[in-house]
Amino acid sequence: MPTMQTLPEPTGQRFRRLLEPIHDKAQTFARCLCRSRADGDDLYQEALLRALAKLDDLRADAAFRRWLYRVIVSVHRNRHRAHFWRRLIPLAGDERAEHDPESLGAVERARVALAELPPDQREALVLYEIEGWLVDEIAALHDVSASAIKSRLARGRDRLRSIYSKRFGVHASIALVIGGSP
Amino acid sequence: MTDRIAHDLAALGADNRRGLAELDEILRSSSVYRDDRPGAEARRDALAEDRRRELALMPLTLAHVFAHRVARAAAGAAAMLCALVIVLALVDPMMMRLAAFMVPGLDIGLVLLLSAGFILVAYILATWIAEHRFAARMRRAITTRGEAYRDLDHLATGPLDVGQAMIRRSDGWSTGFPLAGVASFVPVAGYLVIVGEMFHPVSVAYSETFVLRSHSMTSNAASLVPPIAFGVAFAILVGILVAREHRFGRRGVLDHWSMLPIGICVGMVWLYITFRMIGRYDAYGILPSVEHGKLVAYLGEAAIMLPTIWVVLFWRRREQLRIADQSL
Repeated sequence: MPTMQTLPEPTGQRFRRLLEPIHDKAQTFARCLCRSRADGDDLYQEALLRALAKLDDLRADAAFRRWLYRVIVSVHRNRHRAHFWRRLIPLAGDERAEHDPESLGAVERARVALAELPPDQREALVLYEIEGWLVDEIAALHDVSASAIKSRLARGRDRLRSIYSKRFGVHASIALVIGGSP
Repeated sequence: MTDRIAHDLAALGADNRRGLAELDEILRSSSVYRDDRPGAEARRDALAEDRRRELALMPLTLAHVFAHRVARAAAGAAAMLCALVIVLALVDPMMMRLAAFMVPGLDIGLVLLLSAGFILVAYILATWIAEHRFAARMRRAITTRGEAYRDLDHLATGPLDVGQAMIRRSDGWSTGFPLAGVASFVPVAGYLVIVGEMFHPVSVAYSETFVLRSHSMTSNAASLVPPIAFGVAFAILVGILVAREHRFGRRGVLDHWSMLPIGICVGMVWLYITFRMIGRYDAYGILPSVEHGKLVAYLGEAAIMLPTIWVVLFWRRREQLRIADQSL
């Protein structure tokens, strides 16, 4: 006869228990990936819905953080690719390409520059530089080797430097300081 | 990280940490106004449509590059196999008898011809198989199975990304195997030609079966093994570096154009020493010393490997430009 402890915990409660400690960081991560905070919140909400629907597939609670971040990354890439056609045929009113460098603040500059990176480099940079993850943790998240992540970080930084240099007029030699190896 | 970019990223992180929604609020709103099933199915259908369009417009270059990378790897493996069989046959009389039994009238010309044919067939066959495998993988990339969330996950990676990932996975193999094939087969073929012509008239060297079993041919074959092993090991190392997305330094050494003139110079030295060795034997009947033979073998291996590595890496870079792989 099963005791109270052995009865399965309802999915909603389990989800809430697992999500609570990492909720803030995960939401920040989702916002950093997107072009705007609203997009980030939307992404986060969609990721939570998907995570909740698939929570029964998650066996070990300890792996929840990595699993949730994977869902966020998956949803984000999904959305990114959904804009495939926009890259080929810019829609009228799509003003993302036009920025006045002088009028942008630090946050907006970082958003614009990050948005131009490929998703894998953007994710690696956000996790490493903003979220403070270790290279090994990011590698485990993406199921790739640590050297692949280091390579993504290095390429992402290179590209950020060139974006800053081209779009915002920040001279490359100033921006080079960022390029320490991970 | 004290510069503008670091400052901006830190500001972005700080900004995004402000005004975070409460967990309760998010969970409540998730369950109130978002019924996930119909929405997910609609998104799945839209995404599937996008993926189909993406596949229809996908450049054929991806399939070509993948097929030729696989074919190059297969041809390299075939060349290695040929070199292995030839060396085994030369050093082991039993193997030589078996080879002669299976291919009557086996001589140097036939050995080279059969090897070249085998490598060519391996290349063509591998191209064909790789193209079919690529097409099957593309079909699978746009197939839906009925469960909306699983399909969304599956479709999250579109045919374009699947294709590029396949090409990236084949990168190391398509660099290492051709290099290893060249590193092993060319010295063996060169050995057959040089030793055959050194000790026999040209008319005999390529048409008589006994040349392959001659003492000069079999007794020196073992000296080929160390340089070939060295060349293959180096090829594998280059393949591994390529697979790990290594770029050989900021300005690569191995894929630098100077590898070509250096290889040509080493090749000239090798040619000089080899012709001198042959000339001394022809004129005075002086056999080359063991050290001399080893020097020729190692120099020959280096003369082959240096320009080949440059060519393979140059070709790889060209393919990356063709497929416009942003992450490489």
